[in-house]
Amino acid sequence: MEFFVRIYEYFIFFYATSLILSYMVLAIFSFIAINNYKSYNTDIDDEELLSSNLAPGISVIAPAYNEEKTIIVNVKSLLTLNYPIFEVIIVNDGSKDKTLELLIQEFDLIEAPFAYVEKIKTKPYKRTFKSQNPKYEILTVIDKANGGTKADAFNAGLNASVFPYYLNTDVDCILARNTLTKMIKPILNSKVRVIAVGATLRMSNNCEIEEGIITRVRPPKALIPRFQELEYIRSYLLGKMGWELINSVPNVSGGLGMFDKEIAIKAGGYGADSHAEDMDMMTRMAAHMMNNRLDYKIGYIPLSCCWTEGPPNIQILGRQRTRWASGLFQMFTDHRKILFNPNYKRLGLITFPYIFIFEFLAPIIEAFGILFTIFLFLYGYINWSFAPLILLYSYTFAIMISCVVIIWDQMTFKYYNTTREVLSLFLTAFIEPILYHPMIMFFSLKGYYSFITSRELAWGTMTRQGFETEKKDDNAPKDDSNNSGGESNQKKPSILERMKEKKLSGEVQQIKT
Amino acid sequence: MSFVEWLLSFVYKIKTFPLIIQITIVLTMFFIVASIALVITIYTIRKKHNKVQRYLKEKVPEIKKLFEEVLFENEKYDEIELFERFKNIVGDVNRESLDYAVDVLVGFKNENRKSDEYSHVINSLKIIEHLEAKFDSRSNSEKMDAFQEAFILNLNKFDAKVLVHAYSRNSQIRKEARNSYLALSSNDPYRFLDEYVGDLTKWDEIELMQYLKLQSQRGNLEGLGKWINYSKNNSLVIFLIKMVGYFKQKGIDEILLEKLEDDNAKVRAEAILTLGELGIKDTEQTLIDRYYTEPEVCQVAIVRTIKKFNTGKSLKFLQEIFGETNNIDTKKIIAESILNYSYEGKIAFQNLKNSLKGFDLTILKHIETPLIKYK
Repeated sequence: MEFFVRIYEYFIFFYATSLILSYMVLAIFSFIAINNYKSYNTDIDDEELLSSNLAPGISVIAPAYNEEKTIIVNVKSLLTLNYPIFEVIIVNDGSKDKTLELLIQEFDLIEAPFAYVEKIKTKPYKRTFKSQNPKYEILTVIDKANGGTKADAFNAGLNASVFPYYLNTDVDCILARNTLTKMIKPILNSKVRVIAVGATLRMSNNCEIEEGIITRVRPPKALIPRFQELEYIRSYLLGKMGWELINSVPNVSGGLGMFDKEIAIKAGGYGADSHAEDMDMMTRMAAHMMNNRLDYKIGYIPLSCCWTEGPPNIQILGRQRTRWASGLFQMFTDHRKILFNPNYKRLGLITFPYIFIFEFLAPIIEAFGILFTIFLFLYGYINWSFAPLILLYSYTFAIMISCVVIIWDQMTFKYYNTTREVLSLFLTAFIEPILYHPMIMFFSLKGYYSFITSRELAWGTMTRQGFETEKKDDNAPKDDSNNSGGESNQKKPSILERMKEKKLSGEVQQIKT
Repeated sequence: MSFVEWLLSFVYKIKTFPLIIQITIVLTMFFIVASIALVITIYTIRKKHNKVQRYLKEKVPEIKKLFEEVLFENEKYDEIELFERFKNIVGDVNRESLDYAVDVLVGFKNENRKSDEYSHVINSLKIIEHLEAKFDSRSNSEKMDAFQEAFILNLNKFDAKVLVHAYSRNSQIRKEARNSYLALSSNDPYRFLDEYVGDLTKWDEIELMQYLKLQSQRGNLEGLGKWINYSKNNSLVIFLIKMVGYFKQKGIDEILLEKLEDDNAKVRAEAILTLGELGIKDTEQTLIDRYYTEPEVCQVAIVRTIKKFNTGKSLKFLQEIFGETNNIDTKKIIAESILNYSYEGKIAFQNLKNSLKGFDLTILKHIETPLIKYK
């Protein structure tokens, strides 16, 4: 028994320490990457691009499923983007609420004869709407049958787009007006083909928004979105910016990412059944480039270009995180060939193993740790002199790393007006490991369980409160149990059944490129 | 017990612990100290930021007002007077305050506010010396700022300063210096045009184009044909052919026709498009003859060029290739060309609509729908 306890102690210590070391390395990498970005990019670049005849066109694609509360404000926000040549494509993924009706009414839409080419297979396309108002001439609304995932809707948007680059975003996102000029720059300024560019997302919960434009940024008042704000900044500024330096960005967020359309289509588009469509897409594109021995780069910019409504309560946070965790599991199942595969170079030997060990396995190891601690407690194996010290070790590190990212954030751009707002984020770091982290661990495990037992997880399960909260309809449903996304709620085959099916059809271990 | 004694006894006590615990204690202490240091740093950054914000709020509107008086309201101050007025506003004329002054001027330029007095303000505040200091700065971001600000303020007296950076070991600075030499040099702006190694990035093209526009405004735009003729760098050749079309440079028909035989399809495609831009209509039949032997990129260029020529002679050809091509994107371009190809084109388009069914008909309807801006 004692032997097992000793082995466990060493494992946990070295796991935690290697995680800490990796964070420290990423902190250094991200510092260099942010400084590089700040050194060679200025706001004057935006002006140069805006006045240039050579700016490439960009299609902004945003799928919508039951988004009646926020759709108008958000589409208006997308239409206010500042860029010489772009189109906005809203994909109505068979919404059951008034999303489409509101769009038709607000933007004066009529059905237009549209030569829709299904370059990527999706659930049936129904029709295309265009605005009769010249003010909204760049707006296209695609109406299609519900595909059950955001990925299917993105694919329909890709099919309808005309420009060589596209920005994928959510209709619940408010974008900064200079998003396109900032995000296209790494693509334009690289000799190596840049297949995707990401930027930072933040919470819009306590921000001031006028006519779809963010006019004042504040950290969220409610605790859960504020935790998420800190988590996002950490993930983007420290994680992804750090990976950017060694061209190993694992994922460009589905909330905001710019992609090379040609590569996205050649890679087969988004996995239509994927619940982590962003990471799945990134992996497909990277795998496509490597399979074809093509040089590529995935860029990241440290600027916050997108504000999204964070989950206001635990219930909604739970739904969101369960879906993400299930998607992560699905991603590792679908792309298991890449993991530890030297043929996939950095992706197979660094990025994928890192995500697998420190993100995918972390909730399992933590949950096991809690159970094991209870066991040790019951059998009196806990050394009470040292146990609190080990806890303090992890806790102080979590606080330190949050302080680091707050500094990196301040270094990049000072989004908050007052010092008090910055300090409120710092204080959040003290309670985040105690309150927020255990919840995330629980929801992740729930997501893994959902994936293994094949519970249907549909997109659109995030209830929006809307940006104009004063106009909130009291009769509106408080829960979105009716927003169940996929039209079919029939039970999906289990993971083993699915793998068996794939094996029989010869699909197993095949990377869709 | 003094602190030192306590510390020594603590260290002694730690040494008796297992190695893992020793490491844990040391790292925990490091994390605590680092966190405190980071919080102090955050506070310092914010304090500095607040000071800058106050400055921006108080001084910048006054600087703006002063410059507006001089630039747009014909207020006459001599150089010393203007300098003194500026000094009265900012208190101390230093690097920081001059940066704000440059920002204000750059803002006016970006808003396209025209005035003949920019050089007067620049000379009065010794902004050229200020930018020279920025070129000499160790900070790369300062250098990048200086390149761009000098360009926007239309200054071209930096030959020596920029030349130093044109051979910098830092590739970003080197590239920026070589690109902007085109705008910032008064002696030999085209010096680096044939020294590009490897492909131009799209950003290089955007920068070079705006510098060429500036040269054009100054009346110094040289004929680009000689570089097209001699350069071995295909990406530079493609860019320059495009620029010849953009600036409508005449007299390079022969070079363009020569480029139609180039091995690189992208070079051929760009040459074809430029023939259209320059309206060299006597090449229309040559292009049609080439159509079937060319790859798609050149075929699309030929269709666009024929549309641009708009002679009315190639309607039959356009109708033929519309029926033959299987690529939907190309089909859309051909359909659009037919629709916009003189009065006969419009009639032919309607005839096609009456005779076609299925997806081909949808393509035609798509093309003729004015609500669809980007086809």
